[in-house]
Amino acid sequence: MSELGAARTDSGPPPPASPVPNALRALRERASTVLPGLYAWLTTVALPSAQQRASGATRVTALLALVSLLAAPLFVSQRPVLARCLGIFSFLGCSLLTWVLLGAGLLQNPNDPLLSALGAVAFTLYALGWGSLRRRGAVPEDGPNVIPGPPLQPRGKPQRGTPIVFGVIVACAFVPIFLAFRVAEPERALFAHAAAILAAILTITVGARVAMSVGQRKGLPPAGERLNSAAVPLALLALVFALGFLWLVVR
Amino acid sequence: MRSPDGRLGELSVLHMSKVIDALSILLVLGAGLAFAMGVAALGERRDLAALYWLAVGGLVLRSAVELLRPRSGAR
Repeated sequence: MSELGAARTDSGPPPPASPVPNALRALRERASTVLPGLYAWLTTVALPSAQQRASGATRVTALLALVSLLAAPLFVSQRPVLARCLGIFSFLGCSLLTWVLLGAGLLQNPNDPLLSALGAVAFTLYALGWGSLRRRGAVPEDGPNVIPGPPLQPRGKPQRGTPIVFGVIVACAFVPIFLAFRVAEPERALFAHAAAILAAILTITVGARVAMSVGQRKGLPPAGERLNSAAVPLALLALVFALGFLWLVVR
Repeated sequence: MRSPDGRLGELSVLHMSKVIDALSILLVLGAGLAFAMGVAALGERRDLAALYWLAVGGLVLRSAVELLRPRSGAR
């Protein structure tokens, strides 16, 4: 009995591996992805496109989706990018195209919502199947694609003034939202609401960081360095204020 | 025993950090105020003023973010 990767004792070159068992093995290894995908394809793509009213193009896209689904596992180990392109983008794209081409014909069996729900669950399982788990003992930070940065700070008790600072900032962030309700014209009001919500999100996001950093020294550069890093936006701000003042005077 | 100069330097750094903290809080509050003025100007049909104040708000927030930017490359 031999194990995978064990040294061969017989002489001569190894016989070329047949592509068909390789393909079957790849499909078996990716069964957790292929089987839910196959079920999702059958219930939500194949059944609606098999009806008489469906056009030829619909059947072609449905078939392309199936081909993508079955071809993706064959490339997982050798060409993972191609495999993901086939398994995710091509399969989902062709399925989506099939639904678009079907139009109203997609509701071929409105009395059986269970089938559609199960198809949706199968699509969820298929998506989960394309995820990958971390290898045992692997350190994510050792990966070549890790963006360098400061280590995350452990959870700790916030400073005494943090809730007050954060509360004031949140209250301040809500002011534009209230003011947006005072805009009367519909088009202008829509823009005002969008701008106010965006402003509130930005203010609260930055405000949370500011509130948490009050009194903290860990992970932050020295005060002079912090001031230097903000020099460019502060100078721009001074310039904008000067322009505004000039505009007021000229007007 | 620490020298008086060293303690003075440490105190000065501490004060400076507090000033920067206060400045960053003021900047965020100022950004909120600028955004509010921008939205109010929109309601009064002063489009240019609205754009001006919204841009000022964005710049003020950017300054606050830069004040908080952690040490780059620290591990």
